[in-house]
Amino acid sequence: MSLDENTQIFITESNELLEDMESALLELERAPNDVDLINRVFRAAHTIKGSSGLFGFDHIVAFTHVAENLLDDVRNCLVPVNTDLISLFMRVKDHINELVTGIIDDTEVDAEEDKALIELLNAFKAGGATAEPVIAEKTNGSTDDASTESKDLLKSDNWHISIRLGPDTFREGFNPAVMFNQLSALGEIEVTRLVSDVLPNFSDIDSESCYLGWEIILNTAEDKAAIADVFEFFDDAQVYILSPESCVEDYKNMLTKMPDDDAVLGQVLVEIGALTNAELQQALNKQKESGGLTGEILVEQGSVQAEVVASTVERQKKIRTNKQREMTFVRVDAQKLDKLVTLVGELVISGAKVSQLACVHEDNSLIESMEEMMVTLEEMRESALGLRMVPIANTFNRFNRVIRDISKNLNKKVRLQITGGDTELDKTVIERIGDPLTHLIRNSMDHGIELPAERINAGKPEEGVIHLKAYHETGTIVIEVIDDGKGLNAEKLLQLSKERGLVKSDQILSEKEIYNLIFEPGFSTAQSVSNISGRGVGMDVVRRNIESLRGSVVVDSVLGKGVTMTIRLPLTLAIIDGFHVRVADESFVIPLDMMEECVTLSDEQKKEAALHNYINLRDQVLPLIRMDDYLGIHTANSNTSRINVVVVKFADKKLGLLVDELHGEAQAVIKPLGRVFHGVRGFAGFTILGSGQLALIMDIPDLVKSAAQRERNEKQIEHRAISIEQDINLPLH
Amino acid sequence: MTEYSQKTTTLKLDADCTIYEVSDIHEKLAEAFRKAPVVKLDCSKVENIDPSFIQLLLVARIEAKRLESNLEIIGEIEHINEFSKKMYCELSADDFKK
Repeated sequence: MSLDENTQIFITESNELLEDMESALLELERAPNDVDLINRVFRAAHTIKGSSGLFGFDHIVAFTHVAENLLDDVRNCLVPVNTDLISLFMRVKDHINELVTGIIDDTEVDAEEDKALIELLNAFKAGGATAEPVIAEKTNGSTDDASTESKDLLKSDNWHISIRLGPDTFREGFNPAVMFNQLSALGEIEVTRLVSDVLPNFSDIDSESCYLGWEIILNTAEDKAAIADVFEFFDDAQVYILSPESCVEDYKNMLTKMPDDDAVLGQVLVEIGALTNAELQQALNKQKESGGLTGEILVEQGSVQAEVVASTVERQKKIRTNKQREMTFVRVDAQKLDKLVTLVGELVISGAKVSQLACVHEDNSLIESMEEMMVTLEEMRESALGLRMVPIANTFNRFNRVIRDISKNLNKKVRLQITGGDTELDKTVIERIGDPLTHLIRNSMDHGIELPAERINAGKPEEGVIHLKAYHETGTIVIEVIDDGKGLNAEKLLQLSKERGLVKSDQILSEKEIYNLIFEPGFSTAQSVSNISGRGVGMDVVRRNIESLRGSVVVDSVLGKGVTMTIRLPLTLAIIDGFHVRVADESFVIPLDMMEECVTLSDEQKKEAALHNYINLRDQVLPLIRMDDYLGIHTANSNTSRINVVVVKFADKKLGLLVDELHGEAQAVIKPLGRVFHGVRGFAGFTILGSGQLALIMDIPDLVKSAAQRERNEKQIEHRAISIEQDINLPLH
Repeated sequence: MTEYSQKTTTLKLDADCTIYEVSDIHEKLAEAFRKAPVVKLDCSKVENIDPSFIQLLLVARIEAKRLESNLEIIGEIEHINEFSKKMYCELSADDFKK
């Protein structure tokens, strides 16, 4: 079903709202009384309901409506926040998610889940009791106590009323006693002080005018409006009513409930009940006369506490910056973005071509202009690629939910720690890294982190930590998944690998190599297959997925302390900085981020290379791959007088590629190899060089693996050849 | 209605002490203060009072203190007390002497 643009926008925005709802719910679990968080959840549901209504998605409206009602009760402190409520809303969020995605493929609503959730929502609403008998958690009880406590506090708090009667009060026949009567009806007049310092001198006084004023402390549960009513008829009077301290919290709470519009400070204060219209008017009048900030004048007047003004000002500021930030983001169709990046890539190639031609023609002014253009092109390239860069925080934050769900399933206590969330990755990479990361985290939780009791026995804190770390490292991005669980048992791993034939019985492996066996297909040390992991198809798929992104993953561990998985990924998949080399008559591009250095062999090194397949490079062994042999291309005059070695490095291993010519740096727009070449190992794609020539782009990790595999095969063939020989020879002995 | 004596001046008030009379009472009180250090305000006949009168009494009391003299209110003043109490403009106990 093709969707029109607006529906797509609705779906995208609803998904964002649902994500926000989920993260707010997760935070709410740790801070059940945070009104801000409750409001976030409410607003998400409310907005989705509204938009669904606009589009006529009645089933979504109907469901979200029930959820919204319950959330409103939660907002008004009628229903307490506890783990059961949050779990329910997680299910609600998932269900709404299903309903929204269902629009795309027109799937039917899961009527059972819908009904069940509505029942549960209504049950919660009916008075904090769940449909199934559940042991009320401690938090449940304490939030109830807290709310009644604060109500008591309110009663014992006093309002400060400051009143100065107008001069014509007597002439108009008003008796202040009436005012005091009415105040007494509202509550207890605790203290009254007649303000004698504004009374004029006996000699100066106009005895028919009124100069009386009082400072009154009134103890009442009524709100400001009720108190202000008392002074309704005292037109000329200056009345300032200051709420008790406890109300400050209430006003702050009310602030969060206010709609997010950019209202003026005074208006907001009146709306939340912290200010009467009369008080605001007085302040504004004063402002007209002598200037100053509304907030400051109000505090000086004694109408409002400084704290409430400060909170309101802060809130208005936040709303304003949010609105500004909203305006600086633009929604762009991802396809349009991709097209732009491709075009920029083509431009880079054309630019390189023209640049070369300019050099050939030796026109200096042309060369100069070309150089300028290349600089701009480079900037444009960076900029275009930057458009697709997205901070990894979004992906990382999703795992909060994953970890919460699994830890409940397994009865383990785990928390997520995130470092480097602002590290940016290409959009395409981020989309594809989610699944492998999820699997790695699930694995850590299942096999790594121990049960709380075990952890305490081992002297560890009860709560396990999974640490997601992301950072840049020379052209790659590194993501680490670190857990503080029980680590890998090298002995056990080795034994199991031998049993499964992954390792030969006499093979000697380093500890690290043993750990990395977990990525071999068919490997699983789990005695039972849980529904989370242990099926033995996990880790090798993870590695394959990461490698298809031109990345790598390795694992390291300390027994008893934990496991660290290190994933390395290229920053972008589209354009790479490469190094152009020639082998025989063919051109190849090696990704620059894989290259360490270029070495021209000395005579001695050449001899070494000829004998073995390695050379001594600064007292270290550097294994070699003869590219012409590996690729099977030789020219008629294979010149061995100069042999060049390109030293590449990946996943801590160094390797030397023997090539014929070194041609320097070149930017390459990666064009994918056609499907025909799917099985070809060692190449990530091809590109068109500035000269117009085609060059294959090497996939170094794959190249190395395939070369190693080939060598093993060759050795096996050799081995078998010898043993066959022996067999043949034997009877003749 | 004004009796003069050496150290005390007595000002006797009429039945009506409201906003209509208060200016007049003010003048007379001012005169009394000028004449003698101790002023006695005879309120025995006072029946009708209103807030302006109470204010005046208040200001007069403050003036007396300022002059370091004394304002004595004499007579049955229970109703005046009540009235001023309701207005939260109570005169202190030592202002009243029977």
